[in-house]
Amino acid sequence: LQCTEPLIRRQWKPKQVSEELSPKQQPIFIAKVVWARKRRAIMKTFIKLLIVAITMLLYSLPVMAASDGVAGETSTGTTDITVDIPPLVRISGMEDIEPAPYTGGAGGIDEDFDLCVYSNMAAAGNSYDVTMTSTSPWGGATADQFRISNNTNEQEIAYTVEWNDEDGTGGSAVTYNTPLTGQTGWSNDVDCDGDGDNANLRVQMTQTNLLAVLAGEYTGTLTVVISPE
Amino acid sequence: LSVRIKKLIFSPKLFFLAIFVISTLLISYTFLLATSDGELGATSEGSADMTLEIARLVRLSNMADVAFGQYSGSGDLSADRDVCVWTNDADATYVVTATGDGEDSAFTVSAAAELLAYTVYWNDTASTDNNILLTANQVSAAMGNANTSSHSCGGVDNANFQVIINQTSLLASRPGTYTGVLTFVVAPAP
Repeated sequence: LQCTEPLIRRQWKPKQVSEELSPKQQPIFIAKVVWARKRRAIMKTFIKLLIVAITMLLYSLPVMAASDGVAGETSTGTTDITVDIPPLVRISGMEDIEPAPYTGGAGGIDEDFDLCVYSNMAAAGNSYDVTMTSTSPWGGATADQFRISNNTNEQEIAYTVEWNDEDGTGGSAVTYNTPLTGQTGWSNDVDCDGDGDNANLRVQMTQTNLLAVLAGEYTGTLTVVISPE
Repeated sequence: LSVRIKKLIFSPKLFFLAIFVISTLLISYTFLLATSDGELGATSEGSADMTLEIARLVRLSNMADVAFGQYSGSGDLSADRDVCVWTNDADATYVVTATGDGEDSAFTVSAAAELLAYTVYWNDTASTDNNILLTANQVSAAMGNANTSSHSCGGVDNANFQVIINQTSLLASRPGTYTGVLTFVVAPAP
């Protein structure tokens, strides 16, 4: 007999369990124990299914906050309005860089301009990243490097870039396609109206690089991407 | 003799008697007008007069939320919803008053302490064409085209509200999820 199993002890009073069962009573008792086990297993399964069903029901319920009015001398309806505004940025005031023809000066080429960076972020505790890449017409130009090139000459001129998070030069060197982090000093006005320019982009080409290529027009595009940090 | 007649006519007894008679007649008349009991018999017929006044009623339904989602940073945000206005007024006219949950019922959504203003338009057709700008907490001009036969407009909406948040306001707002409740109260046109 399996009278000592915990399950049985839970199902029947100790008095009943401890009683000696006659041979006639034993099959009945065992049948009761088996039925109790089955019943317990069925209930467990039922509860699990019930929990799953309730969970699915809750998830499937639409979130309806709008309310209709009832008929009356006035009727009131409501609608919930939600809009999510993410951190936004804008760069403006970009200019083309078109230096005068290079005549061999030792200083190479050094061009910069001030521009406007807008963000809706609060100044405290926030910053933005600057990531720059370049493209140029000659397909054979060195990858992952700021460059301008001439397709006819099949030559390129590498250049360096600096970004300053305030107007005027004196910023940080930018690595190709690598975010320059921790930039601040944006305007909350989308056009920097009233605030003025608040950043500076500087491009420099060394005399060595300029003298290393054939005469001609070298072109390219420098792309500047601002993103909230 | 005339003096005696005058005294009789104007005596307190006759005065109160006249009042009693007149009151009794009036009460009886009113009672007879409102209801009538039947006679005892094999059948008996009584009647009751009924008077019911139905006020001019309205109902605004099929309201839906306006979830703009995430702002891309470009352009205005605009959303409109068709709704149903029913009235039992044969003129099919009504007025609408909209209130936001900003200060003084202003049309604003908020994120923490940040406020973002929006504008609300109403139209008495299910479209935004020629809709009318609403001022917060001010009764609109009379609108028409309310359904007079079905509380739910028979499934065909007959009005529209539009919510617009302009780009300037959006770009001037701090990042966050802005929420608010816009309430419309529809009433019979005066």
